[in-house]
Amino acid sequence: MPSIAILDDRKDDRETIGRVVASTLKKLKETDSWSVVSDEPPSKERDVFHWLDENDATVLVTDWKLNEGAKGKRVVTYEADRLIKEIRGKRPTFPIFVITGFESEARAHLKDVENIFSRKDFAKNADTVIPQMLRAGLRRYDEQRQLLTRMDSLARSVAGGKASSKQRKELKSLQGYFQAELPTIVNVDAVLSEFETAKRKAESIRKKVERRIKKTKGTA
Amino acid sequence: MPATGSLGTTDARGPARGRNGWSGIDFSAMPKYFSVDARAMLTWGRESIKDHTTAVLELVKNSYDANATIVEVEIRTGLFADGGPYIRIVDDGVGMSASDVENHWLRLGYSAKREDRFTARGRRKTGEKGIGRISADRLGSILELRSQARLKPATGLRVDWSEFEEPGRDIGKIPVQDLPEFAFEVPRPSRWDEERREFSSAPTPAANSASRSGTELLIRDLRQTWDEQDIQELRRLLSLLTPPFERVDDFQVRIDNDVDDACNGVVASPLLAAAAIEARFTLDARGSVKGKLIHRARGSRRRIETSVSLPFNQLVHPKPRPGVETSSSELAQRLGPVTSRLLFYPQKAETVRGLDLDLSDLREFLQANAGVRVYRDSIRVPPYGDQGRAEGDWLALGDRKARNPAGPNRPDFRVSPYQLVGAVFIGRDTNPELIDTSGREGLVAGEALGILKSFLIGCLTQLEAHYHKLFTSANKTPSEPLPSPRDTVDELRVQLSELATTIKKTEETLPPSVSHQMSQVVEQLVSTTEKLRLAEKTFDELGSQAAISRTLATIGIAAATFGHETQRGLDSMRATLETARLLLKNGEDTREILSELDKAVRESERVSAWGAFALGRVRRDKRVRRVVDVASVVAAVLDEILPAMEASSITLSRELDSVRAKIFAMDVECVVINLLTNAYYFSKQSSRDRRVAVRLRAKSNAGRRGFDVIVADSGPGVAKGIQDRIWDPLFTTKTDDSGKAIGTGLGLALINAVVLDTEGARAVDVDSKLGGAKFSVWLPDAGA
Repeated sequence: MPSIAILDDRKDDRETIGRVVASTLKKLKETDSWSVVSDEPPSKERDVFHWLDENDATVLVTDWKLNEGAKGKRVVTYEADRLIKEIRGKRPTFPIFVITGFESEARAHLKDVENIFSRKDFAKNADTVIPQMLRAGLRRYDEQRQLLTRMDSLARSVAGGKASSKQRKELKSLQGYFQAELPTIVNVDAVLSEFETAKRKAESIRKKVERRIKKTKGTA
Repeated sequence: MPATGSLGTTDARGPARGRNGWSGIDFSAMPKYFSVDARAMLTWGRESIKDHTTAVLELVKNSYDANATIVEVEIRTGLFADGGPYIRIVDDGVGMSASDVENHWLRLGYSAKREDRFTARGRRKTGEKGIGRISADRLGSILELRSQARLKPATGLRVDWSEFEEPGRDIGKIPVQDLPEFAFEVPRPSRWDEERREFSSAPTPAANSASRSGTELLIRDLRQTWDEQDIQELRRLLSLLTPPFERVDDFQVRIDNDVDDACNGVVASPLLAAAAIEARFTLDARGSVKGKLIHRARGSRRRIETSVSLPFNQLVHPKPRPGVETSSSELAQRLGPVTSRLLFYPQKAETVRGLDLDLSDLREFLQANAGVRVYRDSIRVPPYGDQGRAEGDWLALGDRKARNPAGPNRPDFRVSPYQLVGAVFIGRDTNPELIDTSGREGLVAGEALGILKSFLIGCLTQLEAHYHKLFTSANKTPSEPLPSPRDTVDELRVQLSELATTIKKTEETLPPSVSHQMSQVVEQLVSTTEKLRLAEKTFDELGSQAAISRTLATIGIAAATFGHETQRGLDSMRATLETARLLLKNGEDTREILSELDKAVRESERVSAWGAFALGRVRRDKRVRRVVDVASVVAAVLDEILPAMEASSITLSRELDSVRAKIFAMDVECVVINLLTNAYYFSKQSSRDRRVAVRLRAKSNAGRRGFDVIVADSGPGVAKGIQDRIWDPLFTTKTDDSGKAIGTGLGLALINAVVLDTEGARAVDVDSKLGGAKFSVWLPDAGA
């Protein structure tokens, strides 16, 4: 089930946003199709992919100022700007929404996001805002599914030895795209090459043993 | 070379003028006109040009105005010179088309520079009179002009100035001949060899073509011989036009002559060595700033270097956006590595001493070069650094100086934009976020440009601090500090009462007449003593008023700094209330609704605590100097500020000894709040764990009882170069997105005012435990 992921450094705030989203989903009768997850920002921006994929998230709702709260813990050293840049670098179409107390500054500064909402008006406008998030999330979900289907069919062609070099290239680029999402796919290569190495070693040992046996027979 | 004048084209202004011998025309009814004798023009030109070296300079200035990047001045005087002695001045400027030559160059007094005082490269055009071209006459009697404008056919003409000397000839009647061929060689700038620290030899020139513009002036039949001294003088004059940085493709003049070989080659600016201070700074992508401040030793040309190495966040403290802080190394990464060179030229004789230059030369040099220019991959980015243009003073140095015109004897000294020649070197690949505007003039006013400005202001602040230090150490006059007014009153009171006692004692032994006079004196003394007592009381009241003013200012600063916490609190309140309403409407679990309402209550308490904080500061009982429990005053302030600190994940620790002292409670609060406001801001500027530690301890100083308030933080610390300046009013290192100062520069100045008023002491150091700054303020117990 796809989910809406909420990132905020303050527990109180992410709990409030979570409640607004969950309650509106219930009202829209979407609770069977969507779930809501929330957490504080990961210590490194790039770790966000792992968290998003683990929760099957197709929408991210984030605070702008991520480096303030996290009481009792070490505060992260980045703001949403860097997080957005990191996500855009790997997934240019991933829907990102920002909720902040500094809406006008954020509008002037953050360009590459789906939308920006004022914290104080978020609950008031939930009926229009949450469907917007769901539409963006579904679009992303479909996109992802199409890519995965394509990758599956390409992988089958490659495995069957029928793939053209163009198809191999396409598969490789898709594997790269999903690198963070499906680490096992990339690891297949590693496993295969490890297997090849082991096979070569075994072969050379076999040859050595055969030579030795021959030698022993000769002397005998 | 731009089109600038005309040797006079006749224009039909009504009927032909009357001449003697004509008949049937009523001359008295005809309009009258001046006519110009051709010789007048030559006289005019010759008088305006001092000598032949100045004449060459004028022609080179025309090349500068024509956007040339290289001008080659070739002087051949020997017997073997091709076609006899000649002077050839050739540039790679915009050139002229045939119509430019006819309509502009041949029109005397016409100056394109008057219509547009800036060239496409953003240079401030150097001449405006439209007579530069007559300089050629000063040099030789034949001038061949060849010019090539981009995408236009080349053109050329020959002027024989001797024809203009014939008496009685009208200027418009002397024909100017076309040249049969227009081919000439366009020079190319010499490259700077970083390894050999000199310019490489001149690259092979290329023939003029529709894609290679330029202008050549070939002057023959030279009027004067050129000796070594002339060539040296010419080189000196030309050097004033060139920027004092080697590695820039801005404007280069190359001399090639057969008189003094030593003068051949690219003309370098001698003024690099003349700068009172040169600041060279490099910011690397990790956010570390390394640099040198180079100054001249007094009375010699010896240059003394002082190395500077500090993190970017100690050089300047840019504040990215309200409510969002970014570490300085991150800001440096966003900008990319840059190098800056700033040269400061005070306009005084000392600057040019020993340089074969005088003050007017310095002025000329500053006129052409003052400003901080941006060079991307060695190519100039206009209009930065162009005087007189809107964005020329892009660092707002003029505004900065106007707001604080203090001289170099003051620690808050600021340089004037006309005394500063600077360059900042960036690269297209190394600074990808510094993007060209669509108009190709200037850079997009984005965050990276703001950081760049902050960096340069930081470098400049280091230069200014260094100059102030040198200036004051050179002009040091031992002076006793002036006693405070209160000390003077106290002293007078003691002296007067002693005098009155002595008089009273001696009264009995004196004759009655003298005794009567003495009584009068004693009465006067008593009245004066009373007045002094009143004066002292007034001082106390004034002290109280000063304390109130300081407290009000302190509240203002604290409100600005912690303001976003209050705004956040209000926003959260509204957000949680709206959420509670939504949950209620959607029929959610009441526990969830109550939890949201609880949050709203907590936020409202936080916001009202801020209101109480401001009001509590100006309570009446704090306005009098009395014995107070300093520890509880400090503790109360800490308790009130704690929520704001916690909201920003700052750990606030305290160690407060029991201290009682006679003092204005307001002064203690002023010191503590301003130190905490500072610590709050700066502890968020570093990627370390955010910590602020406050310590209060009793301490005697020079035999006087008192106490120390010490506030340490985990921020970037205070750079050594500015430690003396931070206490000055309006001095701040906090900057906004555009590099403009945003700090009030009042917080530490208020503390300093308390220290001066109470005769306390203050110091700043590095805190070994938290790694940031450690401020210590010692205040005396007025009751001791």
